[in-house]
Parts: sequence; C-alpha cells; structure tokens
Amino acid sequence: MFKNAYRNLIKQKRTLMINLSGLSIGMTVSILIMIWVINELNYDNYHNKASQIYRVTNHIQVSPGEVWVWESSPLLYTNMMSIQVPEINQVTKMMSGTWLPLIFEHKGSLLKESNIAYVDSNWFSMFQYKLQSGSLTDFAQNPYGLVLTDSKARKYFGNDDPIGKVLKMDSLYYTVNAVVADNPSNSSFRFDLLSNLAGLMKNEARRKNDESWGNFNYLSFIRLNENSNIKQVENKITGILRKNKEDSTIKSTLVGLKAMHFETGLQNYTFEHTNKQMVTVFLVIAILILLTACINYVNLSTARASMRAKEISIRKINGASNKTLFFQLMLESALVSLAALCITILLVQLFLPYFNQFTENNFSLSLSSWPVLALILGTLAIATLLNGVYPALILTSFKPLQVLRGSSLPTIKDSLFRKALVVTQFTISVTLIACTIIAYLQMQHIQQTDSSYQKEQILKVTVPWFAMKGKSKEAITSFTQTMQQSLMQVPGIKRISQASGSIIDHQSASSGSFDWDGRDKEFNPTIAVLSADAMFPKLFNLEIKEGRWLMDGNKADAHACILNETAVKELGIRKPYIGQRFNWNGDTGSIVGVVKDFHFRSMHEKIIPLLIHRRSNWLNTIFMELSPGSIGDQLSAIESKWKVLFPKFPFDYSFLDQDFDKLYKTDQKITTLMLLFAIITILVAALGLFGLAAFTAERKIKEIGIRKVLGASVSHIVQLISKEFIVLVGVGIMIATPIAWWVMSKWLNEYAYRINIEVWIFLLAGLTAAAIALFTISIQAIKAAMENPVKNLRSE
Amino acid sequence: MIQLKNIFKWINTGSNRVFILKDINLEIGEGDFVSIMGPSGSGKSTLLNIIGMLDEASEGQYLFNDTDVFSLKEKQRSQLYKENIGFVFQAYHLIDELTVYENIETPLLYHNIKQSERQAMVADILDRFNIVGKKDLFPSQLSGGQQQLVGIARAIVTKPKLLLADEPTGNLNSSQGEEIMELFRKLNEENGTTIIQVTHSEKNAAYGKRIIELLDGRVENK
Repeated sequence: MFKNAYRNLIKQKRTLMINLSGLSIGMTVSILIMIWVINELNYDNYHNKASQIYRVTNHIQVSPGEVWVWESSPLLYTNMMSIQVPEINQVTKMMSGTWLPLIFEHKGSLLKESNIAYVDSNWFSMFQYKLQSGSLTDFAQNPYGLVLTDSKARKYFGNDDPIGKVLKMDSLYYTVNAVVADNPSNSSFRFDLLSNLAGLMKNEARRKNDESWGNFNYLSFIRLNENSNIKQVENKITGILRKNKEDSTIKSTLVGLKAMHFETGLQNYTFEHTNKQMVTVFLVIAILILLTACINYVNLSTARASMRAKEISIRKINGASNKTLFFQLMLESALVSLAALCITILLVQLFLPYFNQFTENNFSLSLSSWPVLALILGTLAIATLLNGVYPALILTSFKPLQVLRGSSLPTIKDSLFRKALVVTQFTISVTLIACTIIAYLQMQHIQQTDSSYQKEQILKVTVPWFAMKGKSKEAITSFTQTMQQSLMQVPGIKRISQASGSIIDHQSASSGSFDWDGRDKEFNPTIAVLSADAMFPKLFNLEIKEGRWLMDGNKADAHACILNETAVKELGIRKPYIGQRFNWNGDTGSIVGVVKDFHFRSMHEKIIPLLIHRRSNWLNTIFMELSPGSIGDQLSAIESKWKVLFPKFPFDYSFLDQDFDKLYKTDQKITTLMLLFAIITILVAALGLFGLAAFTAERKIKEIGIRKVLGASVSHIVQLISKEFIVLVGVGIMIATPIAWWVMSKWLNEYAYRINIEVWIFLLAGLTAAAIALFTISIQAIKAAMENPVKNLRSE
Repeated sequence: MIQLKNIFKWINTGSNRVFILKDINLEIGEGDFVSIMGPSGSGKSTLLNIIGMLDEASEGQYLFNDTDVFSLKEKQRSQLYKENIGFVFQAYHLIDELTVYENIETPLLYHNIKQSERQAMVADILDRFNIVGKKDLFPSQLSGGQQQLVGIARAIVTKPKLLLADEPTGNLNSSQGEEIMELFRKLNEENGTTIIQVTHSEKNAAYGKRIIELLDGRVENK
C-alpha cells in the first residue's frame, strides 16, 4: 500500500512539486501566525491562580460628559483594601520606571535603565518568576535590592556571579539580590530590572507626594479568594476610594489579569496590549492561507482523477473495495502532507529568527512543548483531511465499467466544485491585496497630511527630570537659558526651540481648570496644554491664523495664551478671538493668537483643543534643527555640551521623524505583514493555477493540435486556455470587492483622519490578481501552443 | 505548385540516426490529384506533413509556388499555410465540444472573416455537402462517414488550393469511403483543388491522377 502511494506520487513530479511547495509555504505561514496567536491568547496565564488575579481600574469623572479611565491607583489604596475587604487574599503594587529611570555608573559609563519597575515585597509571591540564583526573600527585605533578568545580568556582569554585586546611582548603592529567567513571551511584565519600592519611599518628598489620594501612580494587583463576587468587591473598594479621596463620582472596577492584554479604553498603558480584533484577523488569515494551499492539492488531485480513473477501475474490477481504495488515497494525502510538514518545520526554524525580530518576541519551535506539538499535529491532521477526503471520495465513486468503456470522466459536478475552489482562492487573494493597498494608502496619507510641520533633521533631547528636582522656578528658567546659549554654539545648528513636550505625541492634558467668557458652568472639556518658546512656530512651520505668537521677553505674554483652531471652535470662544479672556489654573490672561490645527498626537485620535502658553520653567524638551550633511559631527558636539550640562545623565536623543514612525509602528507592521500574506497567498494560488493550467493544456492537447492545423495562432490558443480561468478570477474579484470594502471600512474607522476607499483600488487589486493569473496560465498555454500539432494528432 | 528537392528527414535516437525520408524529389502541379501509397512506416504521413508545412525536413528544399518554405519565418509560413492548405485526417479530429456548424466555422475565425460572411460560407458548404439538417449536432451524434464529411467541409471551407488528406477513409466502411473519394474527385475536377492523399487502399489510390509509392523513405516509382 505504501509502495503504491509512493509510486503514484513520484509519477506526477510536477504535481508533487506544486503540492509540496504550496503546502509547505502555506503551513509555514500558518504555523508562524498561529505561534503568535496562541501566545497572544495565553497572555499572563502562567501565574499561580491567574484567574483570581485582577488589576484595579479607576474611572474619574472630570466633567459631566467625560470620564478618564486610569490603570493606576493611589499608593495607599492597595493596602487599605487588603485590610478592609475580606474577599481580597493578597495585594501587590508596582510602578513602571519609564519616567523614573535608574542611572547606574558601570565601568566608567552611565547606563540608563528605564525598562524597570518598582515593586513591593509581595510582588514575587503573587507573580511567578523562575529564580535562577540568589534569593527573593533577600530582595523583599532590602530597600535597595534589585532583581535582574538573566540577559540583563549577563549584560552587566558577563559570566561572573551577579548575586551580591553592587550598582551605584548617585550616592545610592543597589545590590543584586536575585536573577530570574527572562520574561516569557506571553508575559505583560517585560521589565528586565525590578527594584524595591521601599527604596523609593525612603525619599521623603516622594513618599508624601505619592501618599496623597489625588495622585494615581501605582498599579494595584489583587488576588481574590475563590468564588468571590467581583461586583461586590468592586463596590467595596469604590467605597474606600470615595471616602478617602472625598470624591462621590469616582469608581473602581477590576480587570482580570488574563484579560489585561486586550484591555481597551485606558488613557494610557504601562504594558503592551493587543487589539483582540487583530488577533482574530490574523487567526482568520492563517486559516485562509492554509486553505488556499490545501485547495491546490484538492484541485490537482481531482483534476488528475480522470488520468487515474483507469487504474482505480482496474483495481475495482479486481476486487478492491471502496474502503481499501479510500484508504490508499488518504495515505497518499497523508504522505504528501507529512513531507510538506517536514519541509515546513525546516522553514519555520529558518524564518523564526526574522519573525521574532519583527514581532519583538522570543518564540521557539521546540517540538517537546505540547502546544507547539499540538499545533503541528493539528495542522498535519487538517491538511491531510482537507486534502484527502474529497479527492478520495471522487476517485472511489467511479463506475469501473463506464470508465473502461471510455465515457468521458470528470463529471460536471466535480469540475464545478473545482471552479468554486479556484474562485475561493482568488477571492482570498484579491481581498488581501485590496486590504493591503488600502492599508498602505492610509499609511501614506498619515505621513503626508502630517507634514503640516517639519520633522526632518530635527533632533530632540529631553532635560532629565532628576536634574531639575527641587530647583526653584527661577533657577530652572535661568538654567534653560544657559543651556540654549550653550547649544547654540554648536556649529551647524540652525534653530533651537524649547517646549514642554514633544510635538509628535503630546499627551499632557487637563480638564476643569479652564475658564473663558461665555463658558457654560458645567462645560469642562479636556484641553491639551503645551508650553513653547518663540522659535517653536518657526522651527515647525506652524501657520498662525489670527493674531501673533508669544514673544520672548514680553512680560505681558507670561499670562497670554494661544489656542488652536479646534479649541476656538469647540470651546465656543466669542469673536473677536484675539483679546478674549482665558483663565487657566487660576492665571488670568488673554488669547493673543490662533494657530492652525496640527497633529500633536497619533492620527488615530481627533485633534483636541490645545492651549499654548509660555512658562519658561516648563521647557524641558529641546528641539534642534541640524544642517544636512555632517549630522554625526553635530551630534558629537551636542553630546560634549550635554556632558558639561548634565554630567550625571547619559546623552539621550531621538530624531523627530523616528519618533513619528514609532507612533505608527504597529500599523506599519500590520501593513507589512498584510503585504507579505497577500504575496504569499497569491503565490500559492498562482501555483495551483499553474498546475491546473498545465492539466487543462494536457487535457486539451488534441483540440489545440486541431485548432493549430485549422490556422489558430499562439495567441488564439492562449486565449482558449486562459478564458475559463480568467472568468473564475473575475468572479473571485467580484466576491472579494465587497468583503475587502467592509473589512477595511471597519479598520479605517479606527483612524480619526482617513482616506476614502475608492473604486480604482479594487480595480488595481483585481488587475494585479488577474495579471498574475494570466501570466501563470500563459506559461503553460504558450508551451502547449508552441508544440508541433502533428505529434499530438497521431492516432495510430 | 510544389517542388521538393533532395528532401531528407531523420531522427536521432541516441547515437543512431534513423532515416524516415531519403532523398525525395517530387513535383506536383496545380490541379493535380496525387495518391501516396506505401506500407506502414514508409514515411507517407511524414511526407504529407512536410508538404503541409506542419513538419520540417532535416535537409533539402521545398518550394511552394516558388517560395522557399523552409527559409520562411514562422509567421510567414503559417500565413502561407493558412491561405493555401486544408487538412483532412483519418480520425476526423473534430472538436467534441463544438457543433457541426461551429466546427466548420472554426478555421474561418482564424482567417479573421466577418460573421455575416462566415455564415454565408458555412451555409454554402453545408448545403453542398447535404448536411444542413445536421448543423446543430455534436460530432458524437454522427456516424464516421458523416464526421469525415464534416472534416472535409471544414478543410475546404476556406477554399484552399491544396487539400491534404491522411488516410481519409481509413476508419470508414467501403461505401462511405467511396462517397468520400467521389467527393474528392469532384473537388479536384470542378474546383480545381489540388489534392494529395495518403492511403493504403489500391482502390482509393486509383482515384488519383497519379500514384507515388514509398518504401523505406524512398520513392519507388512515379
């Protein structure tokens, strides 16, 4: 039986090659996607009693129409709940160190660690870490203790034993107490350094600040007893918060640890999160690609059915039962799938490093881990079944005598099925192509519309928060000026501007502290606040619609402000805008200018009202426009200035265009992935078409011969063979268009600023698919048409 | 019309060279009716295919109306072929998916003839061959003789000057065969169509004005 299956496969070398390459490409892509999908769906589930762990979410009513949703809580909240709520079994809190990095002096250089978290002593009893060396109890007892991940420890200490080693920051000495294994790829906690919160609390000012119930700086995790009522716990903790914060509208809810990765609606996120829809989309794509590959197999095997009909019939006449034949054919399918799987495993191993780099993960294909094994065996089973069952049924259903008498074989129903499959393949391909084009255009749209301000060759550095700690307003202002003068000396720098944040993604905003003439007392919209100097509009090419910009040195301008167009419109500022009273934070001033709207946040969001003022002690971000050419020289000159200004802080900079790209990194990646998937799908579909066209050419070889003798040219023959396929591709395009339109409309809805989906996109997608299909078929058709008809018409 | 000079045809199998035609010299004038005879494997069909421009000789010269066929480019040759030559096969070689009418119409499509004209030409030939009633039938619904009639109708619908027939009666019974042969004679005499046929049967060969006998790739006598 094996021998037969093997012989049959080997006999059809071309078909076998097409099947193997199509299947292994399809399986490789599917498995890679599935590895990612499975990882996403299993986020944070490895902790002990993970389903009983929750994170507290706080809903703060800032005005009747607006609620801010925060993942952070006040410092004292966590401990108070653990005392007052009996359902709570354990609590722990942490703060991400993104804004509070540790800067270590190590081997003569300064190393900034911002991928750290400050955690309390309960952290390691709630969450699972693989301890590699040292002791977590030591860490809990040491206010200046550190826990390092394996790779971080290696980075600092190489092969030396890191336990007990000391890292110095300022006058503080941190001791490494433990080393844990690197974070698993399905962990939300990606910190490679954990520091004890107790150390942070040694700072009196910090502690006082954080102990205020108005400051939400800590993530609170709680573990409930089994079968606790979540609603009741939420009510109880809300009560605690309301009483202490003296706020009757604030509300706390709980989000499960395992659901945290797909959380939406937060003001901002400490942990990486994924859109659940995207996981679903990729899951669907994985299945579709595998399906496309399997369709090739089914199509080619049923197409070949007529050629095998004779073999099958003779076997039947000689007494083979349908069951035996069925299993023989299934065995062939299993053999092909298995061979494809072996190639797939090699391919996955080959591409996994690139895939990891791209997804910023650390997946591995270890055949010993059961989810991977299940995935692989599952893929094999699905492929074998999809590939085997239908062709086997078709082939075993032949009536042997009819076949041997020579009545023509492939029944109408069968070829109709095959056509439907080809249509399916091209529907999938065209849909993916159209989606890719739309995604690409949207990305282009973002990059072009946003050039309302300049991004190229602008260097951004941020004054370290630590460096200004405890300084007076005046001291900060004068330091800011010194800094600007010092940097101006660097040759090549064209312009310098200072502001209170980046123009690319300025999140700072507040609500409730604004007032202007004509404001409804209940109307407290969220307004973004930015402090900027006089050079700001010139550096970024901002257009002033009305009035003027704030002037340096103008005393009156200390209280003046500028609004953007959206603010003027949405706040209902009375005309004339210039000179209207505008209060902010109790500071009475007036509007001196209106600036044209520009995107100071991601294009996913609508532009919100923006207030620009001029407080020189707020200016912690420096933008420098460099001259093209010797960027490297200018950078090193700036760095040497920096070393004088901030001897204790490493030089940290970025270019605005890079910052901008980072904002859309996820979108860019999705677009790239879609492009890749679209190419692969169309490739696999084309491969199948190649096989089918070859088959058609073979089946029609006599007809082609006759037509050539009757005077048909090569192009006539190509038309003859291509016609039926092009019709199928056309039907595929027609089905794909509404699907792609629907899917992409939904995707575009996530952008506040988006392109229109136009008809030409679908025409282009369709033409691309049709062109690829036509090209593939033509290879076969031309080959058939060039053959000497005499050879194929010999009837002896 | 046709001049063959020192035509050789061979195929290489491994290191061996097998000759199919050896030094064929032949002249066929316009309006001639030639029967080629010879045992199986004597090269009859190959000779016919070379004359029909479907195959090339390995050596020698072929002049068709004073044009050197072998030196022509593919396109020119197929043009020359299209304008002058019709083919009839032993196995009829009708296209199974097309009706009688469509089968006859096919070569006209490749000659870029307008639809109205095509209709007239096909109707004319259907009428001449007495198969008007069969025009909507498919080949599988016809007898062998009828199929061959359609095959000939298709071959001459473009009014070729040269009609080549490869054992046209080989699959037919004798009365059907006779009918076809009568048709050939009529075509030759009334329309002046030059006919070259390959046949096994002495009786059918006798319809020709002259007989060429091939043996082992050589012309035995003229």
